Amino acid sequence: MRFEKLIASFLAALMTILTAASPILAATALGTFPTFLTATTGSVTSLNAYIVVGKAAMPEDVIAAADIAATLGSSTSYNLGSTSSTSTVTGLTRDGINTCDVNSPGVGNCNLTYVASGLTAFPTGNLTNSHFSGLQDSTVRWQSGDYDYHEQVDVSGVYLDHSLSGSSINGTEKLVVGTNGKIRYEYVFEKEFNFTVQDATKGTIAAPQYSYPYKFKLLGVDFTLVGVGATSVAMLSGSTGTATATKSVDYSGYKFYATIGSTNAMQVDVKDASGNPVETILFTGITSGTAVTKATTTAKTAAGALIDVTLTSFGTLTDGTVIGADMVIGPTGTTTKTYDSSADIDTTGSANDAFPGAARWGILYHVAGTGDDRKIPAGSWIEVKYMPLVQEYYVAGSSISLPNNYAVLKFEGWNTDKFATVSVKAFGSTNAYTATNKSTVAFSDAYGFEISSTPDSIGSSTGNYYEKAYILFSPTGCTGCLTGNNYQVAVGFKDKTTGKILVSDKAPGSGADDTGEYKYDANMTTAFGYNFTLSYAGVGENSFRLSFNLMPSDQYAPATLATNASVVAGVVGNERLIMDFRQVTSGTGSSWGTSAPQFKLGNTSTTGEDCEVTAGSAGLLQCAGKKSTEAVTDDGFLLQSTSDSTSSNAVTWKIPSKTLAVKMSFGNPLGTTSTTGTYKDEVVVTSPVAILDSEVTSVHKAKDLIVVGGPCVNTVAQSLVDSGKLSANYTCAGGVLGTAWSTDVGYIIVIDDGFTTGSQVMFVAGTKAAQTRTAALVLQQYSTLLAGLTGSSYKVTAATTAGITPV
Amino acid sequence: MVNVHQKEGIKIKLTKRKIYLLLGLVAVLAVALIYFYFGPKPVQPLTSIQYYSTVLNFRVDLREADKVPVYPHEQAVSNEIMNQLVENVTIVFKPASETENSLYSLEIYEIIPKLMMGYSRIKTNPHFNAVQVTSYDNLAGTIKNPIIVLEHPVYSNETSVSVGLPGSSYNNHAIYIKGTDLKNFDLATEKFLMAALDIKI
Repeated sequence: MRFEKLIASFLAALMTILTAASPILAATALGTFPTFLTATTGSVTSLNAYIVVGKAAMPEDVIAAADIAATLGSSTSYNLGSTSSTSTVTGLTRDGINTCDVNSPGVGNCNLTYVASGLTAFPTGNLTNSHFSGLQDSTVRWQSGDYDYHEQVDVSGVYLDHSLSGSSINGTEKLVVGTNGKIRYEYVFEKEFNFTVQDATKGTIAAPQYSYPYKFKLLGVDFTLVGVGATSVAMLSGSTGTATATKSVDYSGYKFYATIGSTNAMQVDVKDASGNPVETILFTGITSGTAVTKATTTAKTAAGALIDVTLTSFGTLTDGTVIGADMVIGPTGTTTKTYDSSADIDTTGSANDAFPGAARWGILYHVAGTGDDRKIPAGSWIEVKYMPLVQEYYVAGSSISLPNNYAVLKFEGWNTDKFATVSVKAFGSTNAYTATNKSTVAFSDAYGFEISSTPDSIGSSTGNYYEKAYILFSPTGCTGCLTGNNYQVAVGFKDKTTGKILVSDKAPGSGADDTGEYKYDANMTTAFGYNFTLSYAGVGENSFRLSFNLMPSDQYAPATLATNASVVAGVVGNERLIMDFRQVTSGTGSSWGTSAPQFKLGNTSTTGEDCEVTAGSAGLLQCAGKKSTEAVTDDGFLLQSTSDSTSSNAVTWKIPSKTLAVKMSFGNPLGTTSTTGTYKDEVVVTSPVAILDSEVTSVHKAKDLIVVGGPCVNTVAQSLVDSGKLSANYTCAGGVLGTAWSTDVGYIIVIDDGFTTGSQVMFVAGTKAAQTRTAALVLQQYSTLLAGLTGSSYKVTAATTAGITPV
Repeated sequence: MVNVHQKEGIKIKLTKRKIYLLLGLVAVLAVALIYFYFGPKPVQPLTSIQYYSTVLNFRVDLREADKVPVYPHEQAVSNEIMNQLVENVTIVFKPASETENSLYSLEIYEIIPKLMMGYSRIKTNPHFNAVQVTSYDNLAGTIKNPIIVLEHPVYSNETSVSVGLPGSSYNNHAIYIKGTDLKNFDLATEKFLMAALDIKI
């Protein structure tokens, strides 16, 4: 009895240990493919596996091999480390470009290199691959030679402007793009190119080289250089490809097939997208290597133009079978062009030099040094320049795309998105309360000005920041005032807790003045001034000043309680946003009576004056009272629409949290750090090697193996069954199939310690070759179909998530 | 004659002839040692090379593969297959017997991952697929979709790599890999890869 208990205890303990140890001993999860097949030594990550191919294979097995090989190829070039697995196309972003008024320092100095103090603007010179990796700096291989080239963009001709004069700018910061090539894309030949290398008789404008053309990309669009003259180049552009009777070259929804041909003739059949015949184009008397262009008679582009088909070279068999016909297809007059040193984009027909799909971008050729037939000297370039019909103006948030959306120059906006919106407006009537007990009315029926800010950015003289501040006048309790030009005035701030306007405890009629935060004067006879600080949320890097300077009015006699307010805002000591208010009514006695104060914007009684608001621009004070759009001031303020100021007697502007500058970017349309390439980064890896099952030795078995094909066709798979590493259900011993093969399925199974401890065997097989291929397709889509699978053995019936089930 | 006497030791009698023989033997041994250490070494098979940051392993000796002829020249192979225009690579094969088809799989496993290394260097990522054909005639690829034609030894009487339509200057954007037996087919495949990836040894 005691012995049985002992055994029971021992078994219980063993179960506990196994349970606890099971995570450690867990089988390799298929969801970790292909990581479990790799080994990392130092910084070197290797696909530590051999691919074992069964000696016998059906054609479908071969096709499946391509799927698996592509997967493994992808895995080997996939970054298995911690760094990004996809290459990043970077762009250029600068947010320190000076806001500019072309009146000073002038158009030439207002380009994107004009730097704001202490910040960084666009670099001088052309934008290249070092600024935007989408611009290529690479090599084109042509006839055994490498031809270095690079792409660059010149934006030195565009500039920023916010001058108050002129309806096109009207004070708003705008990017200005002139009409003739202010943005230029350039494909620069770094090395001399010469068609003579291939054939000294071809490659000129008159005798193009169609058989061995120089193929390259301008702005990512395929171009084919076939001829070079002293100052011009001949190029093909459009939809290019090789057509046969079954393979089409497609353009504008049509399919162009080369259906039958001979040494001097070719029939091109045009079909619509549904395969219905549209027309037939017959080329006769032609020679391969000599371009011939024929236009369609029925098929048209979306714009309604007929379509040119340019046949350049072709090959046929004696029975008329077309081996291939190289052709270029595009709108009439566009497939073959000669470009010289000027770009004409307004002429129609073949003389039009517009870039395909970009009517206002013209192509031209610049020769460096002395050009010649067939030769492009090193340093020459093919240019694509922007030629808008009229000068264009771009506001913040807008952008200019290069053709083919190859790159974007974007006026991103400002260098900060933190702005406080500040308003000054005439205000009243209101009550104000003593600052201490907040319940005693100090001023009643008060009029004056309200200064408001979102967020709370109005600073008092003692450094507290408020949402709202006030300059108030009141006749209440005024002792010794309301005579002559005297007046009673107080500075107030809104208490957010009570919602009340608080002023000095000494008001009203205390007979004593207060010079603190709640400045108060019971009987001003000369002037009253108060300086508010403006700082974004009270923590802005830059602070500004808003000064109220009140003077007794002498223009509205009797001027009892009348005052003029001169309000200026801006950089401390040099405030250049000026808004004057004038009181146009006057009260009498101890109450406003029927003539409550009315403050009107402007320093005259006239309404709707352009100079009711003036702002500093280009170092000058300029009238800004009728602006319907945002205007930038020398202080770095964004003055909001002032066209309504006269009726509302209010002025609103935004203050930045730091020195205002322009943010511009050049690069990828999706942003400066977006990924556009689908390619994988090359990383340090070791490539796998495929071997036949008959070639497998102990050396191979010491590493991970990918065994493709079941035991019937792959002896290594059968040896796994024989050794018990793979279930007997998968056997094919003696040609007798195990139960696993009773239906048409595929399997992907990971076997830990298959032949050697620590090494894995991945078994990929199907009942038939088709199922092996299905399993291969699953591997090819491992990132979506296998992700998250925690088991090691799966049955595959379809290359879908539902088609993969645990065995 | 020289007599060497040693008290209670061994007596060696040397003749001039023996001295000459001894010197000759020493000279031969010296020459052999010098040859062993400084003479030409037997060439080891080269099956692994550093391709930029990648170690590429091959099935056969690259020095031997390098001898496989390429028509019209190696650069043509690279031009055709390793350029940024390529969007899809089709590997074409004509099925042989069930026991011979595995050779195609073997070469496909050899070709695709290594070409993908090359494509990653030029920042492209084309697709790959394999297609069985009943005839090697009338094959036509395109610049964007070049064809790699695997001609099994049972269909081939030569070992070579060639670009374009056999017997014609017309470029059908196809590269033909041929071998007369398993080993030669391997060698031709590796030679193709050497040309495509611009591997010089």
